[in-house]
Amino acid sequence: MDLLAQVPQLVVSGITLGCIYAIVAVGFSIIYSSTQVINFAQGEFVMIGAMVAAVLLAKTSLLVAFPAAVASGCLAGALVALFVLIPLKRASVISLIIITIGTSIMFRGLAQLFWGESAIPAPPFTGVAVQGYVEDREFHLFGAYIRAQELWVIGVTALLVVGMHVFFRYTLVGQAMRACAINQLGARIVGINARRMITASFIMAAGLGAVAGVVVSPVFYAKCNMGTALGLGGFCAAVLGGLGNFAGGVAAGIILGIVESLTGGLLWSDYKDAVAFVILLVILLIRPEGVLRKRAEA
Amino acid sequence: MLVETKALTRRFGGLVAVDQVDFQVRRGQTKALIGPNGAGKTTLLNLVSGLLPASSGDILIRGRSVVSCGPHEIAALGLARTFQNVQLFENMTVKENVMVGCHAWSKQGIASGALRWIGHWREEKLIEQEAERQLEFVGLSDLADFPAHSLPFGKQRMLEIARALASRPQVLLLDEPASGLSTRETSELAELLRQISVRGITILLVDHDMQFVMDISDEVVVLDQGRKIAEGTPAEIQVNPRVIAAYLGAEAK
Repeated sequence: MDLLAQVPQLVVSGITLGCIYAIVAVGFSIIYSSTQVINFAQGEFVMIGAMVAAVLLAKTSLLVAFPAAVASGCLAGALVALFVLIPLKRASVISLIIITIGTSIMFRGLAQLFWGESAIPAPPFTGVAVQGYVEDREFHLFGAYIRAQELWVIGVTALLVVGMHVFFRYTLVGQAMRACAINQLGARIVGINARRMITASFIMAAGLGAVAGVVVSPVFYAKCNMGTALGLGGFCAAVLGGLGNFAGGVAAGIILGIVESLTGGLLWSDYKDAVAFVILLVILLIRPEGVLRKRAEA
Repeated sequence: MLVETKALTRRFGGLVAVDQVDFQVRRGQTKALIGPNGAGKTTLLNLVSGLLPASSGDILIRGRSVVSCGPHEIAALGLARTFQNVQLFENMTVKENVMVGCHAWSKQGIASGALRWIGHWREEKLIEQEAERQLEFVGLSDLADFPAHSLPFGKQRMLEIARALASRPQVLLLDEPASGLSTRETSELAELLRQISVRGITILLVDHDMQFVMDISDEVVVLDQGRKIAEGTPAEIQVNPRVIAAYLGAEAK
């Protein structure tokens, strides 16, 4: 079969994967901005969202499962902020980062305990019921089949990214969170409760991750260890885009998803997961401040 | 009394930076804290604004003990301050800096901010207008959309004052507001502080520029090695032998 004919299909699945990386990257950036901590539990928030959604979708409708899954993610984020990050605020940033790795392992373990090790399929949001199970609609475009669920992933990602931009740029709370990240002393003196802002940033980042998990669960299936790969991909995207730079992280996430998908489909599928890290290493060697960030911030 | 300290003490290891200091700031007055280097003036401001916990003693704002309160709680009681090294949000615009200063009185919580979009939008407008008003007051209107870090130092200090005023404070603490300013900028600052005082805002400031301090203050407190050694009107302080001795002693070292 002609390999090149597969390219459009691979690009489509790459964009879907890249959207999830993009959301995870934004989550990394939000938490990094407010605490200087790289939260390696970020991928687990996606897993929690996906698991809760997949489990609930078997019993109830999307209208119940979606909010419940996002709320579970937010709760997990709040717990990490309130019981891990804030009590340990005197610890060095590097210890906190290592603690987030521990937290991530804990979440994964708990998920395995509660939901088992096997993948749980979730029905697509807008599928058609066929003989007892739900089949997704498909669209044909530029030589590729696009599933309705993939459009959901792309649409929801776009909505979240625009929403985050508006929130941080135009709302007072968003401005206060930015202020807290830029100058914590200045923020505290004008009456901003820094602890509350840190908690809020964790809840937001976790909520975003959980939304990503919900929309992607019909595409990838929900599995207790899915957070690791998505978290690391999102981390690479965040660093490539420049930590704290939302637009950069989103662009890097989508590019990374596409490159990974093409590598897996056309070259060596065994090395698919290594792609992100090879790119990351090369970029860190030549442009440590990230590709998409302005070189000298004047 | 708007602000009152009782036997306020702060130790850093063996050093007693602020030692049993009692002083009061009456509503509406402009009061200055002066003293030789290392007298404990900035430490005292940090204690009053909640950035440092006291070792012992008490601080009252509007009669309420705030000795265990964090800076955001003290800000909510109507206290605002500026720093010797300005603490701005460098990457945000001049106007955004002042808008963030409104945080103390804005009703917008995180949840309500997300839920009540309409009321929220209205308040946002109100806050923007308030920020523009404060910028006009300190003379920075034409720089509103520039990033804060692009301003020259003297203007950054004015911006920090505008941000503090945006929180609608009852008392404004200024840590060395004239340091780093030219003679002309200092006299402009003095004029601005007089106007702030006319608006009914109480001012507590620390500065080394004696002429500036004596010019604008109603009362002066002198600290030396953490202790209060004198308190009175500028005229009384200038002839107080203990004050003269403290300053001469400091200079002789």
